[in-house]
Amino acid sequence: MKELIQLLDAHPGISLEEAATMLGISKEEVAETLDVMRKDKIYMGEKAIINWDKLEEGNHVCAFIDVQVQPKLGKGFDEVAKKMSQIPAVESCYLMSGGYDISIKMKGKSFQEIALFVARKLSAIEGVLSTRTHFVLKRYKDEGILMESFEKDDRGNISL
Amino acid sequence: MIQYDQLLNQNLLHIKPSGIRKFFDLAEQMHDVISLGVGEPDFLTPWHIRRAAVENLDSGKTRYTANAGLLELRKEICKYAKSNYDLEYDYQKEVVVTVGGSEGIDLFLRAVINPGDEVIVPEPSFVCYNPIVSVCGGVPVALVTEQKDRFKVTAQALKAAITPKTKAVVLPFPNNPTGAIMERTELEEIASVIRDTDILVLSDEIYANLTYGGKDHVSIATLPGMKERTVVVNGFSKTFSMTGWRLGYAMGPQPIIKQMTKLHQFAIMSAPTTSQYAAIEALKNGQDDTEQMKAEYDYRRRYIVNAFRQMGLECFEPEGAFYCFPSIQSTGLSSDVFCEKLLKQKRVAVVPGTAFGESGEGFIRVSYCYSIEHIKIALKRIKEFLGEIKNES
Repeated sequence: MKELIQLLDAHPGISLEEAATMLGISKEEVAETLDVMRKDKIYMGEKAIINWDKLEEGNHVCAFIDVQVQPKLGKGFDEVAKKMSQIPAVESCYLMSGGYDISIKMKGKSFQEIALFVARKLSAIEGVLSTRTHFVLKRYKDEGILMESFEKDDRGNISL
Repeated sequence: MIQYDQLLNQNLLHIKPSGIRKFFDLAEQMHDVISLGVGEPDFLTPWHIRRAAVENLDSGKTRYTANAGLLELRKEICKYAKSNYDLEYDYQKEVVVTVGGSEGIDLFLRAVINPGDEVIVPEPSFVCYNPIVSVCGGVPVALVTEQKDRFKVTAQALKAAITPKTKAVVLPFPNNPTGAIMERTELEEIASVIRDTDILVLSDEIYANLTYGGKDHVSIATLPGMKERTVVVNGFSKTFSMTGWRLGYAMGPQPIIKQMTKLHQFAIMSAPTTSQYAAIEALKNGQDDTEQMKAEYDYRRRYIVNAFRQMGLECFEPEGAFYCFPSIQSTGLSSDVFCEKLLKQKRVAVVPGTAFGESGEGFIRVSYCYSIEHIKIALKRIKEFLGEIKNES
């Protein structure tokens, strides 16, 4: 299982056949392991990484929101965090160490849309004490992928 | 007018330039060529190693080092050699840090060869040994390895190649271009042939950390009676993706290393200082990177070998380095013609097996130092090509 996880981490989107070949195991074994990992919520699927800035119709704004929350007796931060996770525009929701409690990443069509959403919806969730919204101005790297590749194959013509 | 041909070193003048180079020159003049030809890692040097180099430069480490290399680096090299390959060397007397593994090879050959000495060089293999032997006035003796022996050196073939003039045997394993490795039992047989002679061994172990299928590299120097006659050459280029840093090392018996260091001192002074500091970082903290790169090479290795076999080409299973060496004999074309046609018709560059010695005829060397996406495109074109030449004939 560990080998398959490492392979999928490095090569998302490969087929079952390719995974089997690259690991030197049977296709059935890959499929079986994948099923187990899905069932156990280890393998959560794959997602395309789009460089939205490249699209002209754009209108694609991303923000990180630091949220301070009043934890609930016996439930801690879970209840509020799960509520926030239900919101489709919320891309990620994490419980954090440090100066605030919950970090949210969200997408919207405009700065205003996000700002209004935070003011009207997010702040209104019971238990939310304060929010700080940071808008992303430029993306350099996402999920380990460089948005502008600085690398090109500059290997020389060399006799080896 | 000066007759340069008469002035130049005659031994050098008569050496043919590398066949790989000739082929790449051709590829370079064409557009849209996709290559599986380069024998150099596609990964950049890991970030923390680059960072260490910059920090040392910033702090003013810009002078020569000791001739044999930084003491701390030599210590780390010995630690690494011990923990990874069970090789034990004294960092003060038995190691010299060189400009790439290549310099280690050059130093060894120049340190031991007297005119007329024979050096046994397995074939197919990396292109550098024979020319250096010849320039030194030595005689390279080809020891052909065959696919039926999984491109390994056999004791029988070695015995047959040995004469009273044999000075040394080169053991380039894991091998470029075949991807063959030598396992312990096979090395023991080789050792039993050499052990009671005065023959030296140059063990070129530059691909030592790239072996697959759970078969760890074994150095012949770890076998009884072999350390005293073996010089091990290794380096940072392949293991840590540090080709451009030009850094390697040689380890061996003090009397040989002493002469090699003397030569190094006159010809080179010391290996690049910044590279040496970077190498310390690589040895101390680079294990995770090398494992990650190796895992990736292994994915590609399995993928590419499987693809060639599915195309109907016989492909020996490489167990080391980052090349595969499929046979193209079934196409009826010579290696040179195959590669040239493939380049011209499909714009894919691979290297003819003959670039690594005559016995490479009937094979091509395919490097998998490329991303899977890149490899897929190249393989698709090769498959189309095989279909086309089948229809032609």
